[in-house]
Amino acid sequence: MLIGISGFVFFSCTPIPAVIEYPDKTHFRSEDFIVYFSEQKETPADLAEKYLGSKSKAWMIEEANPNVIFGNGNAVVIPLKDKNKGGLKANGFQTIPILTYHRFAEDCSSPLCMPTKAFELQMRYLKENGYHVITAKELLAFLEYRQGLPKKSVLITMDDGYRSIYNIAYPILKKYGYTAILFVYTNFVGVSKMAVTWDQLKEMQAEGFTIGSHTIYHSDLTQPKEGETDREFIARIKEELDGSKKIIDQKLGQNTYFLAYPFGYYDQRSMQMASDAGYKMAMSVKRGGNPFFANPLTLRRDQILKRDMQSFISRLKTFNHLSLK
Amino acid sequence: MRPMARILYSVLLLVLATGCSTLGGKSPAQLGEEYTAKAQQYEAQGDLVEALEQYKLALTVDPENQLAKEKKTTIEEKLYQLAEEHYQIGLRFYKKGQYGQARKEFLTALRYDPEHAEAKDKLTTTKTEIEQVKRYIETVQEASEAEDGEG
Repeated sequence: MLIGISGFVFFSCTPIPAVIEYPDKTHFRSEDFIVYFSEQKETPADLAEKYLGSKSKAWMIEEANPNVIFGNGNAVVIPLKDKNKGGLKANGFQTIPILTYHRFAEDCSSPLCMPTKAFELQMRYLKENGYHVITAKELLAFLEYRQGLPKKSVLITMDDGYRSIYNIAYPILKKYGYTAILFVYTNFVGVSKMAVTWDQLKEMQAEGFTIGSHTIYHSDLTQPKEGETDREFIARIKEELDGSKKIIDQKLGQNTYFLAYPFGYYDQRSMQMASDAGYKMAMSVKRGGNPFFANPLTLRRDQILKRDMQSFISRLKTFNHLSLK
Repeated sequence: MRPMARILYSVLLLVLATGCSTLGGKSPAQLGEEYTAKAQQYEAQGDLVEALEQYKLALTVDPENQLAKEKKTTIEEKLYQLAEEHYQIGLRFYKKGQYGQARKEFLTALRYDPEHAEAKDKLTTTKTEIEQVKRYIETVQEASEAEDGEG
């Protein structure tokens, strides 16, 4: 009788091999999910590497298991499909804040200069409050509706190419595991002790930073200079956009896809010519966040000009409320 | 029955009564029921998108869960239908030039059906804008070349 009961228990508990691929009964898999009974102390990053192919996808597991303690035999849901590439919810949609800095110093008063301590506090705030600093490529994939992003995503950009980006901001960003897009105007690179050098840019590029164009001479692409004919004006825009791209491509051995318009100014013409030059994303300094359906050639950015934390926090809006029912 | 055999017999009866234990302390069927219950809560709140996810989770751990199977099919059909309805409403707003309301409808369509390509395309007007500008630049360049020819 005991043998009979044991046999019944064994066979009734045997998973169906076609659906449940793992014979140890700790995993159940469908085309949408893995449900995994995690016994060991595995982190979301470990599981992301094991099942999703990259630790960078740990956020997908974290967000699918908001109140779950990993380990202890708890069921962990591992989503296998990115089904919400636009960050859409019943009550609104995700937006990505892009923060802009210029230069840094131990102590300074210009709005375009961020003191070291204030920057350190801002980065610490992002880390302690669960923000994910994303890369330029991740943002591009989001804007092309190819890949979702963590709920609290933010992108950091730095304009012009001041040496203090390398001396001050870079070590702080590295400390927190963050990167940024550095928009340089090529005529400024390496010209003085105030400017970053190509070697420094190469070093930061190797550490995962993205180098984008801020044109060659940082001239306004929306207004002709005094005495400039329309033809000369178009030629200047073309040189600023195509020329800077070629220089950066050659100096850093990359294909430069990202542009910040000088002064943040753009119009239909500069936008079109940026696209023709091969840029896939271009940024203004109009305030506000960027949903997935934002025009990638007119992205909004918030300049961080004040040092107080309240002002900084107010720039971190990652969701736009709108009833989507 | 010997005392040892009696203990073993009791243990086996307990296992049968509580289902087939896994490492999580719950049988797949039990876990499936939990996901199904959550799905029904979402359904009651009118959140079909989340309800569908929970039914899919139920089917992941218990592919034979009949309720989850049926509900998955029904909700998927309903979501496609809702997506199309909102897309059509969006088109009507779009034609009237009421772009804000059109955008809201296209977004709703996309939430119900993330693969609704037409709704996604309507949300991104970049291409149209760029085409308009391209024509302007070509016109300026042509005019400029014509001036050179005259000179």
